[in-house]
Amino acid sequence: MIFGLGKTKRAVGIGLDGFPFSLAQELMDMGIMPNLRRLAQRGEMKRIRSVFPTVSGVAWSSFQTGRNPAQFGVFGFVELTPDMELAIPNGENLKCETMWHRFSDGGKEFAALGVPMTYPADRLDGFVASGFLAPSLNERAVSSPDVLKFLKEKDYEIDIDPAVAIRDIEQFKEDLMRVSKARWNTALSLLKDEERDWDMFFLHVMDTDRINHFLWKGRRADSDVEDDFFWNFYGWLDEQLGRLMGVLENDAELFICSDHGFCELKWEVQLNRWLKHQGYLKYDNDPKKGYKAVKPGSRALSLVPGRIHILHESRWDIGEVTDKEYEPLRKELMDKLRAIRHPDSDEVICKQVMKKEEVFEGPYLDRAPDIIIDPCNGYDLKAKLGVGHLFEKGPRTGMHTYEDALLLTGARLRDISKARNIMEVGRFTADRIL
Amino acid sequence: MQPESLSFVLVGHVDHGKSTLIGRLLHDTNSLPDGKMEEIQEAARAEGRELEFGYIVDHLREERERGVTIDTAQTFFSSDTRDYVIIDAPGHKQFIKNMITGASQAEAAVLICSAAEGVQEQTRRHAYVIHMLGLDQVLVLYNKMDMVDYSEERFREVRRELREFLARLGIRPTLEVPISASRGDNVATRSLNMPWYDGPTALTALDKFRKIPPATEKALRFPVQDVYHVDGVELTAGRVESGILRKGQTLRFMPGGRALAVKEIRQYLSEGLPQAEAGECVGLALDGDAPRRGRVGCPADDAPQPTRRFQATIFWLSPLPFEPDRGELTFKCATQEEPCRIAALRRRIDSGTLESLDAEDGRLMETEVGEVLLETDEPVVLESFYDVQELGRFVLLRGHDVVAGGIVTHTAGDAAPAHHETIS
Amino acid sequence: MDHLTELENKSIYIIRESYNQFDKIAALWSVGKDSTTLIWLCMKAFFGQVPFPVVYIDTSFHFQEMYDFRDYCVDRWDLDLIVARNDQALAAGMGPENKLECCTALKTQALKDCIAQYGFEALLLGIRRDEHGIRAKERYFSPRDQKFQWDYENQPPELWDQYSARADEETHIRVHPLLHWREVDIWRYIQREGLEVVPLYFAADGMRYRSLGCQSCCAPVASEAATVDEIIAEIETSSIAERAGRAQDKEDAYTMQKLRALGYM
Repeated sequence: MIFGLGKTKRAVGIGLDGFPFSLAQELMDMGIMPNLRRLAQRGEMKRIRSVFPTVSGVAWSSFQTGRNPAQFGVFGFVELTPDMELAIPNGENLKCETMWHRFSDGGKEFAALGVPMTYPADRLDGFVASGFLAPSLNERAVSSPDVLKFLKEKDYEIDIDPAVAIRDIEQFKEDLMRVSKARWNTALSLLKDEERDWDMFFLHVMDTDRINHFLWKGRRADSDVEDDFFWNFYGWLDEQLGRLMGVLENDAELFICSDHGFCELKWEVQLNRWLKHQGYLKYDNDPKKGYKAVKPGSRALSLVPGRIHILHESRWDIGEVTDKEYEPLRKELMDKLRAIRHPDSDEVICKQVMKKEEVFEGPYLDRAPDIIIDPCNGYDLKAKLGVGHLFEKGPRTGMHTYEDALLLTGARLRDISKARNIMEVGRFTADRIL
Repeated sequence: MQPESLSFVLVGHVDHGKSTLIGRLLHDTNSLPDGKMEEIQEAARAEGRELEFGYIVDHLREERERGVTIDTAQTFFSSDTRDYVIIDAPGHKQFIKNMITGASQAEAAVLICSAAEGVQEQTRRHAYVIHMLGLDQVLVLYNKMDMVDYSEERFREVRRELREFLARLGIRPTLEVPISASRGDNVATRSLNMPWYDGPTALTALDKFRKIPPATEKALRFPVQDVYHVDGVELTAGRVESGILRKGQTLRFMPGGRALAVKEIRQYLSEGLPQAEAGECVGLALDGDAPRRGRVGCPADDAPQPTRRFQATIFWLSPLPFEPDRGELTFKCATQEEPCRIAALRRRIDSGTLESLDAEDGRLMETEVGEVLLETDEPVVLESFYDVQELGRFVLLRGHDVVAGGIVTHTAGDAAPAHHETIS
Repeated sequence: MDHLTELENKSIYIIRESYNQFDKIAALWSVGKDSTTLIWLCMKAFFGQVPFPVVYIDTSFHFQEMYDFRDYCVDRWDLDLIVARNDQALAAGMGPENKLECCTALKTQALKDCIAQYGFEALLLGIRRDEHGIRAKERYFSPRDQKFQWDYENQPPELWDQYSARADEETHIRVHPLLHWREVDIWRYIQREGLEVVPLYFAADGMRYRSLGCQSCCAPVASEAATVDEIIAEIETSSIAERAGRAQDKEDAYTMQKLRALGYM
């Protein structure tokens, strides 16, 4: 540590989940986010990439560890065990250290507020409050009881219940505002606290992802009426950035990043039904059974988003695909996937169809899905079993994109600004602080 | 033999236990599909929660969101005596539009009120809607008795408060039952926890609702819906809204007043009917040119005076307020349709408190009630809502949108209508 | 007035209102029991003639019994039949082997094209509130936009028998005269009126069809009900849930619910 004296190497980061670079530009051009514009003018704002598979759980795991999924061993929000049980991995399933562990060990004063995949929180020497998929704000979601006490006082909540958005959009808006307000108030009061001298302060904001899913550019799944709430929310968010700028001594040490982009969702594509129809997958139409409904004789199945597992005999209890069959089968599947088109628009669905070894590198490569698909904008790759269509409409109007994540870095954060994807943002940030 | 079917609307303040009651009724009357209860119990257990009866409805509602079978906005169940349709009205204020739509299709109302929380804003507002829609069969259920230790005193206290409010509306509850929907007290089975109560259970009380008979006892009104030409015969089609229409009778079609004899009453495959009763759709062969849509056939010797000015109570449904200088309204009653205006706003009422509001600027906001003087361009045939509901209820349109529902309180426009008419 | 007569009169009133308010109107007829009941109610509403076209969406993969029944009724009731068929997709080889795309191409698109070709402002449909969850929220007159979408949270109020009927240029109105009927009412009415239905509804070799469509997509259910009376008895006594329940995760249902709401699983 050449510059180890004082706090010259600190950083304050804001993770805006699923906040696309292109939307940021649009909002600045529309005059909705003047504070963001100021920050972008003073520093540098650019487009970065997400990770595959493009979901927040994987992306923030990449950020926290600075590694790729085959190194930390998690490839989505859900995984399947060899006997087709669903498993929901969380922070404890990550196979590598996170930057928080390293900060704690290195004696850095840090806060990680609301980062996904940090549940259960380890008893680190820092201020950690778990984010998404912590079931509730409890002792296991924080690094110490004091943290819990502080958060409770601030009416902090982990996340909204997204199911509300489907049931009652007005309630969803109310929840979103309540949770987001408390989130920012909590973060700002921590930053204002003169007792603390942060090396690294990181606030993760889930709320942007939620609104982008259910109200993308004001679009609702159940109505054609454009909803101004979307634009108002981002206007409000910009005000929070303004408050943040007021609190920080120097916004040259601020960076803002997102873990993936977003675009309009046109169709949900149910890949397991496609696999079934193509004869690669057999299952009972029994939703009670979950993936246990998959029957012997199946050769491939899909998990969200765009993960295809070939049911190799060595990995899956009911797997029958042999080593010899594996490559020809994978090639056949990849060719067929590339050829799927939407019957009305004739658009191709899969932009990139990749082998796992082309995407990942690391000791857990064997757990990775055998094929990774990056869909074309508008076609969200889903994995329902049961009876239904290949192309379906769901309750959401926005979907994740790989290409369009954002990184905005203050003038002092040149080292972080070189990052090309969310994983490197995390890696370079950790390198800087340590 | 088909069992009788009765529909009632279930209203009350949010969280006073509507869902729980529906769940309880479905369960206690064995109206859930086979296997559904076990499935719901399993789901509740998996989520680590006790099986609450409101959860049945939540569970069904969630299924509905995912496009699966059973609905909760209209729920079907059966007692020993008949089939019921529950029209569930959401308790939130913004759903008043849906609540009125639901309630306008119902034959009776169940008003649920938490004995723990007492009378709340939506309790009163919904009671007002029940009253306005002319639902005079109202069962009041005082729920959550378990939360007030089954106290008779508390029951009487809340009942007194609600009775007072209902009395101001002229509603006399058919029956009043203290229940606990979550525990099942007095819903389908008698409760041992309230020995002081000796009335019927909620289910028995429902069975006491009468089917509303068609208005055959009232004066004949036959609004013309359309005219069809069938095999060279001109048939005047419509539904008998009230009274009994007889073959050979002479009708005067108001306004306009042409008297025409009914040569034949027809339904398909039933030509030459001797009569048609309230509620029946028929076609008439008349001894003259068919009157046009909107004319109302009345007995020639007992035709009402059409009117252009009348008094009404309207319930404003649109989020855009009524403003006196904003656009024409259209009046629709049965098949009559006329441009109209609100000539005077005599009273503006908060439907949640019944308090009078400042009516100076002539505006009416969503969920507010106005006592108004309405004026149509051409005369229309009306009845007081309290005499013949079918011709005493109407909607107001602004453009193509229904913005208010209303009832006619006096067919005459002024305190002294006769004088007014003779002077003008 | 008995229950069925009450249902019938309400439906006839709605059918007549819709015919009065729209010049270009048609009824959608699948030859199933519900829409055949609808056509019969139209016959009754207009004294033995249906004064507008009936649209039959033909995927070309229906049961032969359905085509036979259709032609029989057209002849018997002198119906103005429009067959909506996506010939383009069929020529391109669309069929049940493309099961997943098949319905969209052969049903939805065929209907869209038909509406566009004839300029229909309103369509009568034989849907019922009790047949499907989301339909509980349906109104008798329900606007659909060009994309066929339905803004169910923002529907006009429908008071008494006043139906909000006008369609903008962009929309068409769906009219649901049978909304208040239940499945058992339909069968009782079929019995009372002596209506004929497609014979596939009746049990043969211990199986019968509860709903009809393409041969490839319909499965019969086990049943011994071989007459209308027996079907009514079957419906009255059984309350078979039409769909098995969802899978429940043992660990964390709330988490699963969140993931599900977000479409992550």
